[in-house]
Amino acid sequence: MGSGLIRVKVTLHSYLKDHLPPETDGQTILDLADGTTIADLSRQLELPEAIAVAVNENIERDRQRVIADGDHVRFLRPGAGG
Amino acid sequence: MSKSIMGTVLHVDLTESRLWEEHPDEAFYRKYGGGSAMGVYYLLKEMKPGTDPLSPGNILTIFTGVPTGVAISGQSRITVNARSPLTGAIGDSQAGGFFPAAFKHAGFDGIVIRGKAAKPVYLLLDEGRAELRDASTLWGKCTLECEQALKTELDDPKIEVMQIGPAGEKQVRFAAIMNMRNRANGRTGMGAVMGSKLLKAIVVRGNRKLEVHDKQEIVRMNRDGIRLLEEIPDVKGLNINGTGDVVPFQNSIGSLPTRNYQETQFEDFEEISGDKVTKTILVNRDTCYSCVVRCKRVVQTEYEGEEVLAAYGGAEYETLATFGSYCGNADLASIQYANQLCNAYGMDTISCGATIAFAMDCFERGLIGPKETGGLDLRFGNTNAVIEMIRRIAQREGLGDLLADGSALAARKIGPKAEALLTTCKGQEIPAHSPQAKRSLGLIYAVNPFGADHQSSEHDPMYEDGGSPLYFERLALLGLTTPQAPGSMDDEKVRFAYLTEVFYSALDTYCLCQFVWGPAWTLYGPAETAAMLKAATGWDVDVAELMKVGERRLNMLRAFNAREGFSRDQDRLPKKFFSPLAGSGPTAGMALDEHHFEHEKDTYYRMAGWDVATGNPTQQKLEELGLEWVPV
Repeated sequence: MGSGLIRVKVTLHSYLKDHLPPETDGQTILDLADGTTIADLSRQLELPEAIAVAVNENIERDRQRVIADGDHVRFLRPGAGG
Repeated sequence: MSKSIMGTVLHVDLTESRLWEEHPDEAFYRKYGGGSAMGVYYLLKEMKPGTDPLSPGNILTIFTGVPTGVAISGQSRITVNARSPLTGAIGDSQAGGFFPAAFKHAGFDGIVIRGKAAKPVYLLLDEGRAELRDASTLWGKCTLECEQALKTELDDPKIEVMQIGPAGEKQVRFAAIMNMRNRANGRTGMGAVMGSKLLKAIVVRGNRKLEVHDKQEIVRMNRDGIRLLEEIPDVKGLNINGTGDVVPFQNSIGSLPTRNYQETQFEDFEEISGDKVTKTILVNRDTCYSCVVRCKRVVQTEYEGEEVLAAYGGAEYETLATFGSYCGNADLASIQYANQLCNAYGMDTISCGATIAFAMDCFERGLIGPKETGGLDLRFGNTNAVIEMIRRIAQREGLGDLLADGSALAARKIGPKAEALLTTCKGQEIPAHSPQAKRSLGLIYAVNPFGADHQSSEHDPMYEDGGSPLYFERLALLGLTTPQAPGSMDDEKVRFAYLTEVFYSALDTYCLCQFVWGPAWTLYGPAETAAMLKAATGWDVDVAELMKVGERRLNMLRAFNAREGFSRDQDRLPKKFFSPLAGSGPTAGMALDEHHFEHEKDTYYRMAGWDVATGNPTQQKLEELGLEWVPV
């Protein structure tokens, strides 16, 4: 993107949707400062700690991972099935 | 007698059209708790080893638990046991709804059913009275039609009905027993056993008030549950999106089986997710008796001009996966319609969907062709073919007749190349959680007495990463305090698998819902489970007693299998899991290691106190559990 910004797609699933405005239905595009980590983004969205994160459809356990331009970051509820 | 117990077990001999009551003492209820421990007690005592599962000699038991019918969340469940026609091992299956509580309120704790009726019958339990009635006009009816006919016949819209559909009548080996048309005792083919006995339905009617030892405590816990529902996000997620809520997470960890478990990520996972259901077709959230979680879905949509009716409920996660990603099918409406067909015919959606996915894999590889399928193009992603195959299985038509015996028996007839495509343990199709992503669950799939099951232990991910403080606080009560590295499978993980399996076994004994009561993430934890049982019964129950009850059930199930010739040789995962997975995601390219897996089994058997060579309970262990009467 240039100008020290990256553009990422963010999806919040399940009960986490409430952390974005209702009209987004849990999905938005955000421009973030270059070097933003998953932990930074999680704090920015005021998300709880005990949740799962996937980057580009792969689970990511390192909260200090730096998000890259064009990444799709999902915040998810971990759990079993039924 | 403790107040939450009716004190009556009904015995039914269908051959002789004879009914009689047994009134066990309170010590029996405290020792065995209900559910499959009580059911298997009668199977071990009264059934001859080697009995053909579909013969009159098989005994079908239906039991509630000690707390069933108490006005608190997650207690209205019922368990069915018999020798399984799908596996030859012990059959075991639980279901929720309003039927289980109504069964108890009709005055009974359980039923033991023997023999075979001369013509189709149904059993009416009415305010403590039991009666066999003619069901000739109900035979052949789908579940909604049958339920409506019974309500008309008895002139009572409030009766609750547990029944088989046409698939049970035709003894499809994974036929379910349905209640409310959308709650299934689905696994291990208990519907086929009921069908073999010409028992179409059990109808209950009753308003007996169930007393408890400490009503104030039950009321307090129930109120607390309303608060906890808002505070525990994992349970809230079930309320919002149902069990399908986990589809995106399952996909992200490489645990969403795709195209007959060739891969574990599905490119169209969002199309079959709980989020998508909520956004597009959800019309209501249904519940079981007295439960605040409301995890059940009610949907309305249509598929190819056929209406998906609210009466048949909505697809659970397992169903979304087995008829979705397993079959390469991203059409949500078709999955809901498949769910409806299974509920109408009375079939287990896991085994049915997985068996069709297996057949699709055979078709794609040329092991079966249009001649066998009757011209059906059974390729992955062909939605219409999936729907048509459900009908043929239920009616045992053409290839459907072969698949109605389950994928393992079908593969034996198709040939060795087909056997390599199986995803079964002890002949039962594996649920939608990959053993590569959930290593301890993979072990439980293999060692579980009634075949692969996803509700017999806690799953790995939260013990690896992401569990809340409350999750770890509760697990500590079971002695589990050392979270493990992602993807690991060392001795501590085996301990996690075994100890949580024992706790889940207690839940299945007391017939408690594992989304409400559990060792870690649920609405209530182990301490509350013991407290609730104490408030219901007046017994001084603690977590140690729960574990003993769970261990006792597990040993009884294993002992049943041992006398049928099962040993550690049958505690296997399918061959294909020891070959690298295809596709994308964190488990792509992963294969389990056979040597390591056998070591896991050794460790597990030692923890259970079983003979490592055979995997079966020892005399010493049985005596320790007060099961000295069980033959080894």
